[in-house]
Amino acid sequence: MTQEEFVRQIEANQGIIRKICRLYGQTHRDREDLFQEIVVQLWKAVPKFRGQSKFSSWLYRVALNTAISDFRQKKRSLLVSETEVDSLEMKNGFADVNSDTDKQELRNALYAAISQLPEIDKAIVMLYLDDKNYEEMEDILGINANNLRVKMNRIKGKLRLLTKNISYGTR
Amino acid sequence: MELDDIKDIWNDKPADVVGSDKISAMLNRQSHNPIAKMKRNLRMELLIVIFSFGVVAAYYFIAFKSEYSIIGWGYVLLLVLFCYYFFRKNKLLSQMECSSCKVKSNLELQLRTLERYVKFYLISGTAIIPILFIFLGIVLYYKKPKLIDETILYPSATNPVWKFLLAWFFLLTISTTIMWVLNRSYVNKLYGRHIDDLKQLLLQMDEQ
Repeated sequence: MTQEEFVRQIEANQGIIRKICRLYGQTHRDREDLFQEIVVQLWKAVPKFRGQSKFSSWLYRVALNTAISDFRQKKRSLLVSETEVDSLEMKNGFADVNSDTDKQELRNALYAAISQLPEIDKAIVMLYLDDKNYEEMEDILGINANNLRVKMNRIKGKLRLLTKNISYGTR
Repeated sequence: MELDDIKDIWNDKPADVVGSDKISAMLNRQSHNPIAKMKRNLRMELLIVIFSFGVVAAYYFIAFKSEYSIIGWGYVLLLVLFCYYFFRKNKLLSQMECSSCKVKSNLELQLRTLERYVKFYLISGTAIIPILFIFLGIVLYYKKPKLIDETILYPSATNPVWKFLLAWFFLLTISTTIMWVLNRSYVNKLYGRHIDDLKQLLLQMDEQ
């Protein structure tokens, strides 16, 4: 893969990297640093990309490996405040999600809630929301698909509790 | 809020899109991940050791009309040992990550390699003490021959071999034990938390 092709692929798939950075980085600076680190790691790993798996699956692996292994980031992400979720819960208690601002607030609340999950659960829920099936998730994370199903049910329960005051599509 | 109901919101396009120019510029930056930093520090340490040991060895080869060139060779030998130490550490650091592997395999690899790295660090960091003491003993033997009759650390007419051996045994045992304890707490301080974090992540992956 040439540098130009690589840059084009990153440009097209940067949404995935942004989501990972948002989940694993606490401050704006953290997220920017992590974004750059993921791009550097992807570029370093390009020679190992044989095209046997989809580019996006490979990208998830490298990006999640970088985010999860970066303990400097992790320590900061533990500082996610519960008040962030609480305040957003209050705002979104009666959210009218037709408005862009409310959609943004709802998304923020969702990110804040997921950020409170353990590192691995964050990755699982992100892949779930990105519509990956359990086999693809197993291919990225290396966790058995059956175990992933069990975990996902548990995570849904946790998130339901964390976002109990947030409603979607109702007044 | 149900997860399945909000996938459309989750999958909205990000507002802050990075252009190709910025992405290209990122490719030339240095990695800031912990392993890359450890590798850079290791290279710096190696350069400092080569320079300082090289200068001292050259001094003993040139000065004193090459009378003490054996000490120079001693430093060369120590330098070779240090080079092996750095080579081995660098090899372990290179094996420590596989960013395109599955996340679980990568974490297992990191944990396994980091534990080997710590073990090597501990053993080599402790073994250097008896090596340095013996080296210093040889240097002093050649540079300060008067000491031979004055200390218990060299065999002489007044100091039988058993006394000399016993003195070295105690000296090396005590200093090596102290070094082992200090090294172990230092290594735990440096990498203990990292190892615990890796174990914790793997536990999270395995639990149902």
